[in-house]
Amino acid sequence: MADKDEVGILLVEDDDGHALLVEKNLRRAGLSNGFLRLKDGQEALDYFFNGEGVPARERFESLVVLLDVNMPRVSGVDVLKRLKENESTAAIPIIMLTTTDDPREIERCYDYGCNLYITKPVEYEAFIEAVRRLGFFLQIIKVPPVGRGVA
Amino acid sequence: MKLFRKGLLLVAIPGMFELGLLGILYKSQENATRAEVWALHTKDVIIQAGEVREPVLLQSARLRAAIILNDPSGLEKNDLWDSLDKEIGELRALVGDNTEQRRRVEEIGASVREYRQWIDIQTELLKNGKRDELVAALRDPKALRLIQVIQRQLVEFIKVEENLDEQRLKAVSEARLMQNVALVIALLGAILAAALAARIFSRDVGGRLAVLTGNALKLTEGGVLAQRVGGNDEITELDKVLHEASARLRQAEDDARAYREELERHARELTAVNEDLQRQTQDNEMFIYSVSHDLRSPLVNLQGFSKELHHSVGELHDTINASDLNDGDKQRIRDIIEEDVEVSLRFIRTAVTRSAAIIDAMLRLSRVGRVEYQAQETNVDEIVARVIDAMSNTIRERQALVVSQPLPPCYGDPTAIEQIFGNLIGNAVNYLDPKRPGTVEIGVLPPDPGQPDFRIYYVRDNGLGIPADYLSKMFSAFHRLHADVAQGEGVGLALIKRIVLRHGGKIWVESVEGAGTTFYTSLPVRPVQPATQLAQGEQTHG
Repeated sequence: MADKDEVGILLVEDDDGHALLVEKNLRRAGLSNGFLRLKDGQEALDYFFNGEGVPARERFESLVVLLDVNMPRVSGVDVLKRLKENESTAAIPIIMLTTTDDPREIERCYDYGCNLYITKPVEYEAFIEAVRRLGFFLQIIKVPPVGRGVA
Repeated sequence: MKLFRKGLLLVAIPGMFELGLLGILYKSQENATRAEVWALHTKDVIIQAGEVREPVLLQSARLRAAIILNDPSGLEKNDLWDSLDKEIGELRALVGDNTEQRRRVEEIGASVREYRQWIDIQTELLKNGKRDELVAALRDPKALRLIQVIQRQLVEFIKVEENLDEQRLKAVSEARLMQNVALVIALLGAILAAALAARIFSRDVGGRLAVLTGNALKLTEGGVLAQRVGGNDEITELDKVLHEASARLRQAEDDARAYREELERHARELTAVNEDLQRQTQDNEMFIYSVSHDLRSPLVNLQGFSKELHHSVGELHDTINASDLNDGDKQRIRDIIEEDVEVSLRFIRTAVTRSAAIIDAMLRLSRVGRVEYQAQETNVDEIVARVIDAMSNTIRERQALVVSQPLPPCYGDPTAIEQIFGNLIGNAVNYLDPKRPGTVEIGVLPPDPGQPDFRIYYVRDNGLGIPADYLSKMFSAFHRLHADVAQGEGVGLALIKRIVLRHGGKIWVESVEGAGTTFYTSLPVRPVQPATQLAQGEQTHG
């Protein structure tokens, strides 16, 4: 769970293998932040909003969301949309993770306000590096509510 | 009837009419002339009758004179009798045609002969000196009666003749009148007949000519022709020709329409088939795309966890080193890890990398069909220069010479065009023959008048070349000829073929194994119509 002073990492990923690999690699890279894994988009929405669709908390500080695009029930893109639509959650930095490198898909995610789009690589080094740098970056400054090209 | 004959009739009908009238006129004139002749003849007869009376009276006077003078010598002369005979003969000749008058002339002749006999008797009496007897005879009323008979007969003859004269004069004036009437009728008739003939002719020929002109006009305008004009002359024939021309024109139009409809139907079918094909291609690409995606997910795990295993192996080594196992066991465990686990992991990783590359290639291939092109006038010269620049390291390594002619622009998506030339030039450089100095030439063929909308670019090398058997597979995906020479999944040519086809162009290759290869690609100069795109297809030259 997110610590007050550290950047907490929330991973929304339906593939157990991918989730495990992401966590392991982050740990190996030296990120010691709190880590929470949710199994799909619905769980993510339940985490952020209560039954009436009101944000569960006033502020989500020191939190990075890693969001898989292709998930059953609620897709990552839908979660992204909901988070960026709501004032309380709009400032949370979101990294989209996907196997797709389709330019239109990428374009769509950036239009909805994702902060970074990472194609799930077969080689993980690049991915870990990106998450790490984003983590360090987030410890220093706040991310604008909706923006592009933060990375 | 021919027009000439009609024209002839136009002249002939009034002509014949006039001829008939002329005959009548001539006849009436002849009648008048004859009537006049007869009238003159009657006058002659009357005068001649007077001529007959004169010698009779002279003879009577001569008798009286002889008696008074008592000298018969005067009576012995026969001149008066001769004259009388002559005059009666002439009179007889004049009335030879009239039996009644002739009978009268004969009666006059008989009376004259009787009178002469009586005169002769008196003459004898005078000669014999029987003057008294003579005077007595002269006093005899019978002698007077003879003269009177002659006189009366002559008067009667003349009266009959005068009657005739009157009748004949009347006939003359009637004939004259008839002649005048006939003349007027002939004149009026001739005018009327001419007018009538002209009217009939103009109504017949003129009316039909108007219809004919109308038909000719309609034929030029493509309208429906009026009913055929009747008759059997040149106008009818001309009209018949017009109608036939119209019918043939209509037939031709119908044929053309049918042909056009057939063509349109074919075009529609083609379009439908084409759309269907495009849909199928899209479906296929979509299928490849989603399958590639789904395949990627497990690959990520395979690769990720083999890496994890690799890390674990490292940790295992550390653990073994730190353990208190004897050296022999440590070595054995290390050997197992090195020779079995590590080698197996390497194979797995290689396989995963290869699979990932193939899936990437499939994704790229499927995306070529789906990506939207921003077609525009594209500077091929710049693109080729950029491609050569990007490959400068490889070119240097291979010690190759890459030259580009000045290249005209084409019309297409700049990124896609760059892909085409990048692939072709890359292939040319990669498959150069290491045994000789490599050259690659990029150029353009002279414009083809038959394909004004396209320009044919080529990339020529003196490299390894392609075996003839392999040429037909050049543009199929996942075929690699020189797998050892360069990396790749063998989708490059399939990829750019798809790009070229989507631009409406063609791509083909000519090659001699061991001598070199030339790739040709035709690209549009200006925006192409979909129909042109249909006509373009794949083509491979040996």
